[in-house]
Amino acid sequence: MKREGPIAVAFLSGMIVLCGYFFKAKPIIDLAAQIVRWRIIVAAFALALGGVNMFRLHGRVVVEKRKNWPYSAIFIIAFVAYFILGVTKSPTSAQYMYIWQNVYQPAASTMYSFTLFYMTSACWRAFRIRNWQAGVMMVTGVVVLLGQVGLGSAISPFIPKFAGWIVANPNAAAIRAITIGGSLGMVMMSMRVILGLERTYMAGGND
Amino acid sequence: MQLKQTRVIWLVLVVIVLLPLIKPLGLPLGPSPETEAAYQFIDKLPSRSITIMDLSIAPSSEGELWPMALAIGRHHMAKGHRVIVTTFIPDGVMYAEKLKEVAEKEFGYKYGVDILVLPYRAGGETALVALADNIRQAYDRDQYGRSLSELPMWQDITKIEDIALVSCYTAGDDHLWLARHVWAKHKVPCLGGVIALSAPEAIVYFQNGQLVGLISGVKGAAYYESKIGKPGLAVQSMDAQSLGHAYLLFLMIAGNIVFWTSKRRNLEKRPAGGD
Repeated sequence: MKREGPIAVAFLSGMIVLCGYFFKAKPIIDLAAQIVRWRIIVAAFALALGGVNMFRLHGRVVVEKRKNWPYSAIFIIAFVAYFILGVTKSPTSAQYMYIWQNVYQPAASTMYSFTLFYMTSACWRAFRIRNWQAGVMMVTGVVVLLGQVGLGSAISPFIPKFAGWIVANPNAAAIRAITIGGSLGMVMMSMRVILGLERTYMAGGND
Repeated sequence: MQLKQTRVIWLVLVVIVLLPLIKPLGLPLGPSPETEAAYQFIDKLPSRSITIMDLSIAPSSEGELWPMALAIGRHHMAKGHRVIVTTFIPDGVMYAEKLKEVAEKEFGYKYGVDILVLPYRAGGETALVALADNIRQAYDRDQYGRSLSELPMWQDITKIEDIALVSCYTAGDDHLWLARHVWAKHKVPCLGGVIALSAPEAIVYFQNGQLVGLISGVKGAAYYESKIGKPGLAVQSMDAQSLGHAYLLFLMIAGNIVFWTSKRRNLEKRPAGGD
């Protein structure tokens, strides 16, 4: 039953939602919509579970005074304070937004901006033309990169046009092939889950 | 030696990006047919049309996505369209709030009549499916906890087909979800606002007609800002981006010259006949 239960739930949920997409029968459509709404509730629980897990993980680090425990303590204080503020006031309250705009937003943007510096170093050290394929890739990259910015138009109006052609033709052809291939794989995987052949989502695999 | 070299490279980068922000160069924007298509579609929508804007923006993607969302929001408001703002990531709530403020302060929009903010829903693609298949069952309260049945704008919406355009601003896959669940199933026009990195993938959906327009990265946002005649952050940052890209290209080319020169020198130094 430990295995049969989840397989039965996966089969029924999958088949009902699938039928709801292809058939116009109202009871099936309504039932499929209901299952989709349950999925949203499950996702919200998963989010809460993630929060609890983070809290437990960092709590243990602080209690056992492991390496870098003050960072975990800061995390817990910020987590609890922000959570209480969000629940008691609301995420659109002035206090909540003040912290978000003056602490979280600049910190998150700064973290992301750091990638530019690593990219710059990579351009100098890593992008090497070792064979003709790498040469083609480099030339394509240069044209598309210039076509994305005003400098390309300033050098020649031909550059953005050529960049647009590369993106709209060879690139689109490759993307379509990848997307169709990936989608077929996804359909097969979904069918395997629905039919109970794929059981890795139960953590125990086939055993 | 290598550390010193890296520091110099980074310092030059900082100077190159900062200079055009202080003194703009006014480089041309170049064509953007996908953005033009988006502008033309929105411009032709009748006044009082209801549109949905999915602001799935986070601070990491704000630089690219917020200017385009703001420009399109302003265009909707200038044309008198009614706007429903929603999000499928927690951070999006903040940007929805910012857009609501713009609507109320700049355009005199009235909450519940001209603009509506729906709360964040977990579940990503599944949440969007719920919105597309039965919008009235997917939401019963707004972002502020008010019952939607009390709000006049909500009375005009019974199903997704009542919406004239659904647009998304995302660093994820929201534009693909729109194409799959809103356009393919309900034939409601969709528009994608994506980061430049996602553009090569998203362009396929524009070519197929599954997206009526596509705005990608700062360039798309800057183009849209100039189209509505309100140059903002995207136009300002275009020159910095141009020079930043030029610097990256210079480093790539210079790096290769150094690499091939030193390789050749090593080959020449190698004793004849040895390996």
